[in-house]
Amino acid sequence: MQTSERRFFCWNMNDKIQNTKNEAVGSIMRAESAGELEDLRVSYLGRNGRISLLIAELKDMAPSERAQAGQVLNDAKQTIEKTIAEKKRSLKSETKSKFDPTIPGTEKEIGHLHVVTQAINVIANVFEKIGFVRVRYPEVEWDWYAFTALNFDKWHPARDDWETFFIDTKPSSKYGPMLLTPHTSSGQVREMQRTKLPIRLLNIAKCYRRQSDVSHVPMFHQFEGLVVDERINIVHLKGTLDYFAKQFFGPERKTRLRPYNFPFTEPSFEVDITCGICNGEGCKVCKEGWLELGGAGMVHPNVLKYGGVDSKKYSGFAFGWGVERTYMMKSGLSVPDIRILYSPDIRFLKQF
Amino acid sequence: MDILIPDNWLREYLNTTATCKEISKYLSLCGPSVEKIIGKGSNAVYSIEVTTNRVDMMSIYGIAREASTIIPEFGKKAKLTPPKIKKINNKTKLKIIIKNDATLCKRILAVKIENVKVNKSPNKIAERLKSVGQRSLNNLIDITNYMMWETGHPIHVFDYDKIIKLGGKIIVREAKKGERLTTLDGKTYKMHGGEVVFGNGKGVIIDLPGIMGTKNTVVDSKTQNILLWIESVDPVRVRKASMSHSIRSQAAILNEKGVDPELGLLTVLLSAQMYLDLAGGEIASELVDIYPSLPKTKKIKTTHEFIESRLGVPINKKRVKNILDNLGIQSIWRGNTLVSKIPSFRANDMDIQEDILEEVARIYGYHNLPSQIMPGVLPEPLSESPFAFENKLKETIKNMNGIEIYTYSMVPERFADKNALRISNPLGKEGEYMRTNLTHSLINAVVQNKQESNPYHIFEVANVYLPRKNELPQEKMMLAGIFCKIGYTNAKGVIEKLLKQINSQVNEYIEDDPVFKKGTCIKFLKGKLDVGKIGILRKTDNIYYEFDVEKLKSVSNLNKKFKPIPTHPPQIEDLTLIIPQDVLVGDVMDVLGMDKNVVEVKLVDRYKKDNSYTFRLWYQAEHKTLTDREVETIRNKTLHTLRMKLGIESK
Repeated sequence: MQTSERRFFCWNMNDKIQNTKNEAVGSIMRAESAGELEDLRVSYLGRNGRISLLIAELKDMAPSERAQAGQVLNDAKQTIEKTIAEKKRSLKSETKSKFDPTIPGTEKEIGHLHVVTQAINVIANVFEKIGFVRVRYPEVEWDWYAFTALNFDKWHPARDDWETFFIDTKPSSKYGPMLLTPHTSSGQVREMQRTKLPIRLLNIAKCYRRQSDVSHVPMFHQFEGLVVDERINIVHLKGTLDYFAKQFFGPERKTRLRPYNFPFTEPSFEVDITCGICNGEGCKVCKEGWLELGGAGMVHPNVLKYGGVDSKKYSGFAFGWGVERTYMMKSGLSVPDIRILYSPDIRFLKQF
Repeated sequence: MDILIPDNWLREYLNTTATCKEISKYLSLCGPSVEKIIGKGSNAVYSIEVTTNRVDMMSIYGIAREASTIIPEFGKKAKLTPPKIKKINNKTKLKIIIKNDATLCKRILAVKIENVKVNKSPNKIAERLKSVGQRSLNNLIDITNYMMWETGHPIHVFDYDKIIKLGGKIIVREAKKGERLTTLDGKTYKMHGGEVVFGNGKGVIIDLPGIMGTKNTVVDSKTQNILLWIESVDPVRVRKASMSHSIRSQAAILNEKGVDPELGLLTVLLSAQMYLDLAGGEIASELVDIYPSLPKTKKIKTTHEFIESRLGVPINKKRVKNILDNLGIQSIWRGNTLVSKIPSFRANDMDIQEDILEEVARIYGYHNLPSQIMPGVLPEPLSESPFAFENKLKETIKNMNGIEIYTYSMVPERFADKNALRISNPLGKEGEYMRTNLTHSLINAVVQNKQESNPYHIFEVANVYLPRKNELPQEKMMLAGIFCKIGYTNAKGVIEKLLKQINSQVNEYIEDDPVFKKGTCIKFLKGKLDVGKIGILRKTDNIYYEFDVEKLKSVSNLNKKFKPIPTHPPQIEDLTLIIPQDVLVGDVMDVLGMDKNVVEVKLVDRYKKDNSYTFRLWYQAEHKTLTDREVETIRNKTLHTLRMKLGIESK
């Protein structure tokens, strides 16, 4: 070793004494038996103990420094002796009983992330692995984005004030009334306006619908997927949904598409997954072996048009499902009333 | 829309070897969803969900037509049995004068049948009506329900003589505001104005067409002559009237979706025959057919390339044509372009080439398509994504025993700021406003956990909605939480650790805030930027905190920097000070940590009785161990400053 390096790595006497003292005190405090204490005493204060060796080094020091080092060393020795004595006393006063391993451990507290947060994280993770970009679009939205741009006709029931929450404020001349979005699909045209193609959107956000009963809660979460590119077709929709189902629910689960109808897709589908309880055989919980996941479809050309995308050159697919519903199907977690998911009761929150 | 379809009734129009289970499976895969099969054998009834765009399937005949196309795709035989229609040749003019308004009603069909006998319906009819959820009343009314189920077009029957007594006229018009009518079930309604009604020309309403008949013209046990009647009222007006008066009859549910007017002719002819068979009677007039404008035949063009590229698999032109022809969509190939004629019963549903694609694809079978994730270039990620930071906050708090909660964005008036956005149609007063802070929701959550005797810490990360003029509100993400039955230093310790974990460059300042008890609030600021606050709530002893997540992110850094591990041990010493009441501990600690060689200051003990506080100081220089003399110098300087600036003496 070069001299400069040695200086860097070699502690001076004060340092050595401090470290030794700190180490000794720590070990003594952790000792669990008198025997252990005795071993420690020997290893630090015995004839060949660490302190004794340091004392021996004193004579190699310059006289000017020897006195001070000696004082510090003496202090350290006394501290160690004192600590050993105290620990010995405290060990003695502990009741000596037979060690019983069946005694229950002390209860430890842990924190909890909400089940909806956990669900969102899992879902986001699955789609991000195949290049989806996660975003979060407005919950308070314009009628234009929530309905008009999604090709809903003026009289569609979802636009009634029986089904959708409206905000008591002056409507926009361009975008219509302000409302609480009933579906994350309102992010589709926003995404098409925000970025150039290709699009692989994952919009996860709060949605609101005017319904409250055992299977509906007025505020809930949806996750929306939108893929727009050249030559996107139904095989790709199937592929993406199958991929999600296998990643999220398990490799043995299968999906199927059934014809359906939505204003913003053509063709439209409903997506089912094989029941996890009966494996597709049919049972009390499912419909002939299938459970409904949600809707999907090929993006309607009018929607692409509203988003400024040339529907002759590009095509896309979209799907939008409930986070709570989808997660509950995964875990077989059945709650008698879905509104319990938004309960503030700690006895519920601590279960996850 | 849901419909019950009895299997034996279906098989009068659908000739097939497929079993009930097979029919159910094939339909669900390629057409309407069969939710379940009720009963079995000859009594089996399909419960089918029909989407709102396919009102043509809301009938026995409609389902039979679909099934006859779908079932052969699975290798089983199926043929559609056409209905047996008998033409009406009577030429006698109808004495009732009908005046139509073509803007309100697209078609009217009417014929008089005289000398009918009111009776109970035969068992077969009554049984079938029962199995589809309709009550059997008498033969005259039952036939209208039966036919509606069989063909999908609602049909009505008037007591002919009652109409004559009321003036002998049927005038199609809009109701005036305030006009009254009494439906056949005895309920009276006041019109809003604009509902399509039939008037007698003398101010009396004699029918609410498409929705429900009225008491003054309904058939009863004394009826001798009937007027068989079909009309096609504008679907939008039907829906409006039906919803606003809450009369959701089966007729209304069908009519508001736009039933094919062409179906009317088939239905009136089949119905007339049924009346002759079941109620005696003879045809006593011509068949009146007021059909102001025949619908134009719609044509849709598409290409072979389009169909194959959207389907994702090759499909030959012959197959495409076969599928469409079987569905009643007559199609011809001209080179690689396909021209399809849309039948009247699909006119409302099909407009663009994607609709043609859907017909081809669903009959081809989605289950027959392969499954592949799309290849291609991946999109650009977001330049500023908030999610990793939000998750870091949640995880860190969770690791310190925080329990995450989700509360509703909608709150009652007493929780909302003066200018908060109001919902004009809330579900109740408890959810009338969009919240502008998380404070009340969390306080409320604590109230709802009254039964909890142990300490706990709940937190939430959620948007609050701050109104903006002529714009959507700002959706500001907030982190907030409440410590319940947890001491102030413990609570603050969690928050300080959180800020340390995300390397927040914020400082603590004392500043009052209306939410907290006076003198208990600490604000976290970086320069002038107000990032968050913590304090003791007014009415309870619970500790509340909140942060503006975006601002917090802007002053934090998730990327950790490596700090070289010190090569020399520190000098650690304890200092006990008496701190008078009017001096802040925070200020003392600032002084203690002033020297650059004091790398850490911690409060390790506190004896309230005499205001003595024990601090532990870590003295460390970068490349050497400080000597006792050097430490003493620093200590003396510190004590001097404490004495001069804050008037503090050491113990």
